[in-house]
Amino acid sequence: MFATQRRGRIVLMAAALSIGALLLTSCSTSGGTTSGANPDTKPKAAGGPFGTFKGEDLTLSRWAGDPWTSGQQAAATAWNKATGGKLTISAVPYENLHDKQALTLSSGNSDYDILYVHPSWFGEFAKAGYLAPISKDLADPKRNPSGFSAASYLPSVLSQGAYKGTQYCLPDFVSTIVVGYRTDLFQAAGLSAPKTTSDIIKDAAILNGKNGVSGIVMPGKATGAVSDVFSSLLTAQGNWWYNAAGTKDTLNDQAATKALDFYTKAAKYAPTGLLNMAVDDAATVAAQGKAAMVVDTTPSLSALEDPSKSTTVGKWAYVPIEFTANKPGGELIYWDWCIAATSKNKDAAYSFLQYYTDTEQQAKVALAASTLGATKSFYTDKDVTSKLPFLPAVNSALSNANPQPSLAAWPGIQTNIEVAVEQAIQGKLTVAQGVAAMHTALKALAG
Amino acid sequence: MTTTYRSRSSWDRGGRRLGRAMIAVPAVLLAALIFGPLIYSIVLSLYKWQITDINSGKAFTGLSNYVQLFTDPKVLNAVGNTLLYVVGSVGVELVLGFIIASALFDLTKGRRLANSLILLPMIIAPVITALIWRYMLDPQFGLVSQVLALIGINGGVAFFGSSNLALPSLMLVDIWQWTPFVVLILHAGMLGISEEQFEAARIDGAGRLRILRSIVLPGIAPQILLVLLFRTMDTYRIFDTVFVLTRGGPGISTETIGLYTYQTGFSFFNLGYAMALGVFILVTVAIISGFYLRLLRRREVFQ
Amino acid sequence: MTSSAVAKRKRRPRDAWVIACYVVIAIFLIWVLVPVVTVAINSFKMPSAIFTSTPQLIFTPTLQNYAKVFGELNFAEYLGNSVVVAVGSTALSLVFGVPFAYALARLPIRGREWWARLILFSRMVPAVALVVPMFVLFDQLHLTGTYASLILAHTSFNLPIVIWLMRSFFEELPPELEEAALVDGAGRFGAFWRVAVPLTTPGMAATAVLCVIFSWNEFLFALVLSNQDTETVPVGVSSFIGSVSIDWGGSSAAAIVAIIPIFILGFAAQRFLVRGLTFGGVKG
Repeated sequence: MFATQRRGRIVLMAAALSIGALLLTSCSTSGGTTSGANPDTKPKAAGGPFGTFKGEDLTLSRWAGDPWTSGQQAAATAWNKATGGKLTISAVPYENLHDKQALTLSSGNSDYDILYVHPSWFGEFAKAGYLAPISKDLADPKRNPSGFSAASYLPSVLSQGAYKGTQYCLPDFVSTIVVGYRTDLFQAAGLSAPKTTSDIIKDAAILNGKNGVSGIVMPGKATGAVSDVFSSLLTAQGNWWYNAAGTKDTLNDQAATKALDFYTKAAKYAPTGLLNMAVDDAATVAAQGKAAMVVDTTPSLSALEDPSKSTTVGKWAYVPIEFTANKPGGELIYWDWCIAATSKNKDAAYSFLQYYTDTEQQAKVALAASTLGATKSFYTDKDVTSKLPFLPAVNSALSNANPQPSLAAWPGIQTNIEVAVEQAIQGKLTVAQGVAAMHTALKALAG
Repeated sequence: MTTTYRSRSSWDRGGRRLGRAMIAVPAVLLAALIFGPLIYSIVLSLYKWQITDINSGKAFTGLSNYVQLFTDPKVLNAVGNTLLYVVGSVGVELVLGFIIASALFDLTKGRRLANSLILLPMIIAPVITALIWRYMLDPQFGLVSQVLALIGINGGVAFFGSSNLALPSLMLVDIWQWTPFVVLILHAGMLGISEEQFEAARIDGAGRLRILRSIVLPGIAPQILLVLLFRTMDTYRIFDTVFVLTRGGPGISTETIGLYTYQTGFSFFNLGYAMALGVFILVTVAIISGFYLRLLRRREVFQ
Repeated sequence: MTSSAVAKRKRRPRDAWVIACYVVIAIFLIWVLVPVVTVAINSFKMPSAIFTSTPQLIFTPTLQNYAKVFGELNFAEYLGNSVVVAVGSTALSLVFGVPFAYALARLPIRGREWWARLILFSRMVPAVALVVPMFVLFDQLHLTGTYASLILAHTSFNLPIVIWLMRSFFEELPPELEEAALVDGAGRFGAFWRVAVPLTTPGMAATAVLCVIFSWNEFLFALVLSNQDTETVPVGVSSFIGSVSIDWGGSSAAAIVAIIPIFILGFAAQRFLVRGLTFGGVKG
């Protein structure tokens, strides 16, 4: 019996030891301290970041995906070198980003300084107090290049990063949905450039099936892109899902019918497996010469002009979506970059955001990844405009734009809308039933 | 088993004390890591909330999340898809696993090498499995379509892109990944059958198939039920490969209950309802497992 | 039982049946290996060689994808983190699970069946239901982002496995051996520590390998509870699968890098796996 007790103690000791070891490993991470920082230092070279932040460790939370992650990594490296700070990028899959961020920020132990915030959860985060206001920094002449202020951004985009009158975020990654078409194939078939959606359907029917090339390709998998395309189709007809307050269904039956009709007809001339194609799959199909036309987000279309991914470089021309000639439209897709309310390095975080969203860095991102900056001067930058083949199409589409939905209820609604589109394509729902299903989905706006 | 204890009371007292000591710490760990969080999530299923509410006020809604669960047509669809998935994958895995394990059992040489290679799929993370099969079954550029094109079938097959094929294609992925597990367990069971039984059968002049049916099959009944139990438990809550490969589409043709729960909580931010769905999964899977356990006991193999 | 299995192996004629068995195994091996080999080949290809309409067996191999995985993505760090978490949670699960299993199998404890059912039940709880509460728990303890939280989270599913498997291994042991030790005055703990534990090492090895595999592949807990210094391999691989663009070459290379260590472990421990599971008989 005595022996048993002694052995029991050994077991307990082993348990205590292993728990102790666990605690030790948990204590081994410790944060750096701030020292010798001056946020007001002017950049050494024009276009460089403001301030010096020696000894400051920053973490940026974003979703993973190239070329955007690596592009931002390059900007971070340059920023680190110029300011002496250390910005690390923490990238997780987009699908998990919201829960990861929300949980981390709710804990109060967050080490996030800069956040990528998607429109659909911007309101939620701002309301919960997770984001730091940015207006003061934006107005501070000591922390911005001369002449740079809130007015330097496109107002329609910048305003998406404001909640109840306070500016929280700086935007970049402006894009929309446009139509790409193969100039060589169109020429060979004696077709002129497609102007309207009915031209697109007509041309797709003609070009479909020649030499294994499909007429048209677009996203068909319910990952958000189907909704982006459909939103652009609505916008081009002057319609939108909901009212300005985001509380009431304003979907017009006629517009929705025409949009869904376009989607289902186009799907007839699309390659096999359309319903499992995300934006990148659709772009890859087009880039590999398997479709004569492509409807997709502009960042995905960068694959068409990238020689390492495309066999059709230089064969593409781009037009905006138009139902009626000369009435283009598109959904305004954008990203918001915000500073975490719990950040201990807010000045440094602002320095990076200003640097990153300003025209010079955005021009680099644009060339690498085909997304556009949100500053006005970006659109007059000669270097950019001459090298982005789809810029005119994007510009004209965005002349009539609705911003990507930023309602908390939207992700759920969006999935139901995309399911309706997919079922209409499969013929499980008629177009009228599909539109009715969209109205049903939009009922969640009220809840 | 029960007969092995001597009735010397001091031993039993020592055994009881040691038993208590051995159980105490792990029990605390289990309580803290599983049952505490589980109870918390049952409590949370009575509220309407999203992650940002976690430390602030949540709206108490009683059983309304559960009421919604029983009136939600998507739940019915998801449970239907899930049951199809479970029956289809586990059924094929079991039959195929039995055939492969029997063949492996009768190999004269190279059994160890074959065994090691067969295990490969089950050691691969689901996220990587999904990646592999997303490429393999891609209608334009995947290996399967490339091979089909070589024999003259052009244009590819929409494995994940058609309502009729998507769920079977997902099952195919499950079968690829988990048949090796079934082989491993069933093969181990076969190795445990005593040689005397085979000897006796051979003397009786029984053929190979006869031996398989009358000796091997009954001999590995416990392993078969074990495999059924574990595979059913795991396929019933499948979501990771489905999420990457089809995200429930086309339409809702591959939406499983695990995927719907995950999306409700983490894509649609409705965590209260997701917790209720999680409890629903747990309760239903416990009922199914209880059924299996009763089977196990009736066959007098559960000790 | 193991000896008879060995004895059985020698006298089997090389007849049509055996040949058929080889054919079946060969076909199955092709089915098992082709997807993995394809991805392995892709990991040496540029994107333009991956996206083709016919299989491309002749191509210029590139190490660019691997350079990216180890350079830009710093995969060595993910691998290190995965090793720490997998070894940690396996060790913790064994340290606590083996005595528990022994108590269930051998010691006169109250509510034995009740405990066994509880263990099985704990294996059924879906991770989706646990991950948020667990985050809250670890957050209160200021453990989020540490190895400790990941090790403990993975212990939550490995501990029931250890208990479940080890219990059947202990039950398979002939009780006479421990009784003899008791007669020699070893005491209950002595019978466990000096007799039962050494005799079940193959089973324990098999269990440990399974625990390492499960921990190595776990994604959801690893994602939510880690920070950028403690992220494990599956989190690293998934960061290749962007929703806007998937880097096929890079993700293939990452997949291969993630598979190789665990495959080597599985290969090396294969005999333990089979022997361990045979030995225990894997009773329900």
